[in-house]
Amino acid sequence: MPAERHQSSTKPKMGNGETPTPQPEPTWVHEIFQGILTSETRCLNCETVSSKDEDFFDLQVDVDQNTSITHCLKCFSNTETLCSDNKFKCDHCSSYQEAQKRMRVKKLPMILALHLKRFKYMEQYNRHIKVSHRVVFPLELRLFNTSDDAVNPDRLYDLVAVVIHCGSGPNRGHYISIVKSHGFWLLFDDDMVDLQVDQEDMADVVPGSPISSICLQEFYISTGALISGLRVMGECSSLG
Amino acid sequence: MKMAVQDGGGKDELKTQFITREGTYRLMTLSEYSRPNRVGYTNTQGSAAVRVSFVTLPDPSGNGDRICFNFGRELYVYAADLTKPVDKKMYKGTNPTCHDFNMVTMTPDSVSLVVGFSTGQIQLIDPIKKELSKLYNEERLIDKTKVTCIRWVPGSTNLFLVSHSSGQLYLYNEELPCGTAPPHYQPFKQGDGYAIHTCKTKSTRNPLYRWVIGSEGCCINEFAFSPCGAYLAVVSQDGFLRVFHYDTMELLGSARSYFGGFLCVCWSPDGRYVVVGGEDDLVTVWSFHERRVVARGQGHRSWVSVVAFDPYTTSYSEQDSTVDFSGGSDDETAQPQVQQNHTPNPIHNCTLSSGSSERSSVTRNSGLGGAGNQASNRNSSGSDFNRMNAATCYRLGSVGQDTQLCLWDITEDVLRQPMCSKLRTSGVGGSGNFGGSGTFGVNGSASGGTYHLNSTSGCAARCNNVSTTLQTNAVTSKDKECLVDGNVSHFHGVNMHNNSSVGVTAPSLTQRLAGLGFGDRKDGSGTHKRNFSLASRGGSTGGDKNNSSYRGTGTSNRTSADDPMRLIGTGACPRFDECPVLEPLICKKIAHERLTALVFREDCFVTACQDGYVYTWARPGKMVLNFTVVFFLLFLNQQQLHQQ
Ligand SMILES: [Zn+2]
Repeated sequence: MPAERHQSSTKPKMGNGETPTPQPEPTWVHEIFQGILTSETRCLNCETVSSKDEDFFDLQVDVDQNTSITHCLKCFSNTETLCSDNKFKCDHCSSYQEAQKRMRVKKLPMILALHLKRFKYMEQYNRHIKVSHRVVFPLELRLFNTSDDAVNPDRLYDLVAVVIHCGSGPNRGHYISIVKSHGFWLLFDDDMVDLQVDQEDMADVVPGSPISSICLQEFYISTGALISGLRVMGECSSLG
Repeated sequence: MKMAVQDGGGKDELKTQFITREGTYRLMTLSEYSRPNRVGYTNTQGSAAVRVSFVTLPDPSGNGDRICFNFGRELYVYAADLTKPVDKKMYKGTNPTCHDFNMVTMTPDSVSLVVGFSTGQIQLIDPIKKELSKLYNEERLIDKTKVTCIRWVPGSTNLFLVSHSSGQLYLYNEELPCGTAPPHYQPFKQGDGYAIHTCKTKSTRNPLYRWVIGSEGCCINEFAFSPCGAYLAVVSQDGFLRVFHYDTMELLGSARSYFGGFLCVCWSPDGRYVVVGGEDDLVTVWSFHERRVVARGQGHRSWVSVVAFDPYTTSYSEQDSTVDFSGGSDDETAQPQVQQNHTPNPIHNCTLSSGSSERSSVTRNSGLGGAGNQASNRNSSGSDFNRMNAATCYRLGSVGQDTQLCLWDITEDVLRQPMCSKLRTSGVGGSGNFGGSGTFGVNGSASGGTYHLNSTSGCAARCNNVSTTLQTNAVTSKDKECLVDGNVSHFHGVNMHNNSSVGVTAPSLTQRLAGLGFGDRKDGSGTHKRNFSLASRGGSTGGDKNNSSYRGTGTSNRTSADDPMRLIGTGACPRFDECPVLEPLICKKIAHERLTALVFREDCFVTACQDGYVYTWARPGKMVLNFTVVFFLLFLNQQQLHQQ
């Protein structure tokens, strides 16, 4: 499960008024990972609501201390106000206006990839810093931030894989992953594969509770972080 | 108010007081229990959750209050003198995880305390007399996994129930031995998603019963007896709440989380509702009468670790008034306290003597009379709180890993709404409706800190709010990061637009907030349903979302009855827009660490968090009362007393 692939396949969240890029031939990656975000913008001058769809292959969410992934996803879809030098060009008003905007999920992908933005640019340091906030995530998930016209808003996701960045900063470190296979959690660390025999331990490791697993213990304690990097969730029916 | 540059500021500020409709709650200063040293204990992150148990001993002098809490490898019991504990125990290689006082056998100078441990053992001690110490499951032959919850069986002198993370629940008799070999079990009773076994041995020994609940190895996170003692609610990691008749061991009903495990459970003081919290960040209200989920509360930013009703702030109907329930026509209020009938089915009568089988004497084994005083420790520890007439407005508290306390006012009219396929009102518009995200109103307003939502003289509240709004207007795109927790920005955004002139003529803040939940407020019921809004999703689809294409096979060990995809849209797990979504009355960050305990007392409530701090919050105006002062001495240290 190479993390790079997913990370490079994302689109910027804040895209505003750009035309959709020409669609490439759909591949299995599209079938599995592609979802649709709908971005709704309401001009505060004329009240017109315009919406625009865009594809996504993962959702990049900001992390906050002592929150859950559910909360981070809700924040992802919070309404933001576009104002000052970030005004919205309203077609109806033919001018830049203040507007409200929010992004919600219209088509839920078969496998939902969530990317926790743990590398944050800090102005005072003039570089990216790893954010070690505690963000818990359950073994299954539903989305609260679906759009009104979403086809299957109750879709239930099961956690199938976690990618973890070990290390203190963005420029170094090591990626490992934990993947669920046939009901077992497997830990992949380069050429080493470990079976997480104890389901209970695994449940402890994954939601970021006290850690019993030795191979992860040092990492968790040293960073104070729970997860970072990419996380993949699959629909339970696709697990078999 | 300062604009935060990074996280912090506004709603992330740590609160030491807050206001609700009944007044101001204040954090008692220096209420941190004296914790000797932490030598030999460095990793607080990995420790078990701090839990708090209270007991009020029948002490004629009125000094009967005792508090017990665990922290790391240590267990403390304190009385009024906080400078030194009544009892303190430190364990090697294991952590105490949970504890419970026996309120039947207690005397002014003795009390039985059962303690569960992270390695599965159970200890019975008397922290006052100190001569008692018994161990159960000492060799871990019965269960090797962590004890997650331990409770004395209501009304019993010697029986206690223990849950483990293995998914098993055991009934012990403190007078019986445990046996020197792993117990052999034989099936006793089986039902949907659970099985009960007894020991095969000739001589009676512990455990008396073994309950296996949920799929194999699925952790039981907590259980709670109903106030009347007849019912047992169990929540587990498989996302299920299961409610049993304890004596007959029948499964009466169940609920499924929206997703993830259920972590905590409690009963309403009148036994009509079970509330659970979990990994879906929600508080879920389940009606005992209707056997279905009747409401969900959205307000926490992470998992909900404790739910507890506040019986002292819950309002009750008059004793003789008739309460009409949509689910049944039993007139409970006419019945005396413990005798009341809990369900339309008379078999499930609430009296402890109702399970008249021989087994009942085994499971309950002691005087039946004291049931009224056996109300669950958490729900109603006040001894004078025995009335069981129906509540009209329930006060619920919840704390979570988000370090926040939420208080909820839940009114009967909300809970009695029938489940509908789509809870929509005409007020909710199309896709242009930006106002419908459920909880933003209260969260946003909470940043103001010192006003309360239900203020009828809401002037201060409004003024406060206006100033915040104005500041927010000035936020430019560069500052967007400070609004990462966009509830605030959402709130102000809508506010700015809909109420650009917030003044004397504007409806009360409460009404506006309630209205926002519906988009444009068109009905006049804003005040009425102040903490209640409808989810704003899925307006157009009338069709069957439960289509076969995604029902699938599910994961390995799910039985068909447990399949969450079959349960969605049913009373056990309504779709999100099929049941009312409650908003918290207040939502405050009150700790630096994850909160792990919440107990309501007559004069205060007590919270604890993962790093070992136990806090006492004084109820509004309570300090002036005689009795209360005495109680509060308990939570002040000596120096402060001298200063007063
Ligand atoms: Zn416009």
